[in-house]
Amino acid sequence: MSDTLVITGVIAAYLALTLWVGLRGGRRSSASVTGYVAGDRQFGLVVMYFVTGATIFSAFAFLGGPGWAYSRGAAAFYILSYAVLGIAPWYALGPRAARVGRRLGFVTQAQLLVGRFPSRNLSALVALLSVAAFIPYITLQMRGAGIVIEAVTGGLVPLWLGAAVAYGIVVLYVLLGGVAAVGWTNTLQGIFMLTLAWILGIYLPWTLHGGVGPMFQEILAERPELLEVPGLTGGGEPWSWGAYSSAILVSAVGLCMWPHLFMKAFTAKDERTIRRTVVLMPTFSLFLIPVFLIGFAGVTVVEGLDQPDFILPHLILSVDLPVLLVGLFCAGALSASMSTGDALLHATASVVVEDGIRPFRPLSEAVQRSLMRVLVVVSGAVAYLFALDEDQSLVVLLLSSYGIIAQLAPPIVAALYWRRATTAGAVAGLVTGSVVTLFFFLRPELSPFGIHEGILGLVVHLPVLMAVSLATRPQPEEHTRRFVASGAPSPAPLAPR
Amino acid sequence: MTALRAVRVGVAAFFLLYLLSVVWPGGLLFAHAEPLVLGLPFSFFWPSLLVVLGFGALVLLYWAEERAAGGAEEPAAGRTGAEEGLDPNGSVRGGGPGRPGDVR
Repeated sequence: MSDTLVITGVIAAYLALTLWVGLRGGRRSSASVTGYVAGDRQFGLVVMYFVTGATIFSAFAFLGGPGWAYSRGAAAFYILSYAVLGIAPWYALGPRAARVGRRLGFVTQAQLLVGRFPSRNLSALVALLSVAAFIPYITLQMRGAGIVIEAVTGGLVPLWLGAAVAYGIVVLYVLLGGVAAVGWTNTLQGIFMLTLAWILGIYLPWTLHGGVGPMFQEILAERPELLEVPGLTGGGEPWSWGAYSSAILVSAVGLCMWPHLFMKAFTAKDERTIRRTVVLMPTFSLFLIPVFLIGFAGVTVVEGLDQPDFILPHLILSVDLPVLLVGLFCAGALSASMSTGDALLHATASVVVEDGIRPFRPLSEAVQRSLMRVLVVVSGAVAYLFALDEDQSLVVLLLSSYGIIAQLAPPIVAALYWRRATTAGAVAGLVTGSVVTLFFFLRPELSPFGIHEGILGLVVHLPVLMAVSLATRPQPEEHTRRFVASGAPSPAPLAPR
Repeated sequence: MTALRAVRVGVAAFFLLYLLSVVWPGGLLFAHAEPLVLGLPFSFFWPSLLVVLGFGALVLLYWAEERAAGGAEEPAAGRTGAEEGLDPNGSVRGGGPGRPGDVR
């Protein structure tokens, strides 16, 4: 019982530290909407690195990663592949979006789209799609936090309370600090995640199996099917190559299109910072290796766990770890959950106000800022209600939200690279792509080769975007020139506003 | 310029091959568990190796772009040592492209 108290104490200390860092960081940004949403465009490399890393690798990676490796084996490797494939295009896309955003004063992705393709309905559609994708994602993070706290406190703090406390703190610093608070807490949280993943990923195989090699020898002898790509499904059947391949594709396409990540382009200090962040991102992705090792360490030791996502806390508690380390692990897992959750909450509120409401109804800066704060609380509360529902199949919802988010890629790329794209083309593509995605989400059995519905959506989306664009009147040259850079590929120094 | 172009094409080609080697059908070649490399099953070692190679490719691209951009833009953006974003005395840096007037 005293162990539980020590662990609870470590968690409490960690949460207090996060709150303090968040509130301190937040005080530094300006009171303007640009300050709240885009952090006055001042994030430097170190902050950007951890913000981006900690935002991408959420509770899904930290708890879901080991859970997948444990129950589905090689299927988990798809995460390793898409993490780098998804970030690489950002090297070209990010600086260009940042340049256009800075020049024309955009703070959200939809503003960029609507700037190029003037249509309030497009703005509302993007806002709707973003929020539809965000809510289940936030819910997943909350459940992750609750699961960790419940498991390591031995039920002393139940899921509903753990999730409420952890997210109460997140809501508080997002409310008070906006994106600057998110930046500083994510730096702290990112460092926690990286360190703990590597320590546990090496320690657990070593203590349970005598090393990584011997561990895989054991698995190879007992469960060889786990180590063959594409691994297994959740039910233990072999997973299909179609599903594995399209999971990589849809995630790679969707990764940078998440509004909370995309908006990072607008928070970066300069384009060089964005490029450097992209270059360094694979080093962050390597932390998936120890994360999977943790899951594999459980394969021959833990018999059929009901909820594979509990494998990490389960292993931690079953090996004799110093209590302090258990507490720190818990803080690391909370970091993973909260660092994505805070960015998501912040992005949801920003997107609803900036893209869903403002195009239809002019608001003063002060009203916008308070509206965003209200929405942070509201979206947190909605996600929390879902988090309490045990029967929600969150991974299914999350993968589907990737399908929705991936539909934002064609119009964004067209906005920045294709002069001939038109508003009608962008809207038509987005609508058909989303409808097709939704259809195959509801009727997955109709999908050929188990291909992800988001990819099927894109297969329809692209030709529609192109055909309708070519069939409608081109946009005036002086308009497209502001978005599609001509000639000079190397970035000019950023023009002062 | 041509050297930069070659690097860009090369890096793009690398990422295309990267993609093709992890999805069907290219992925079939690297899907097997054996042999163990550095203790990892080959199916795990391969995507891990690709992450490292991907890092290398991006470093190469960045290096080539910086070299091609030359020294002309260095003074504008090249504060390598002081890139930490916000400095310790708590004020938002006024030197960058931000708007010092917004800071309070």
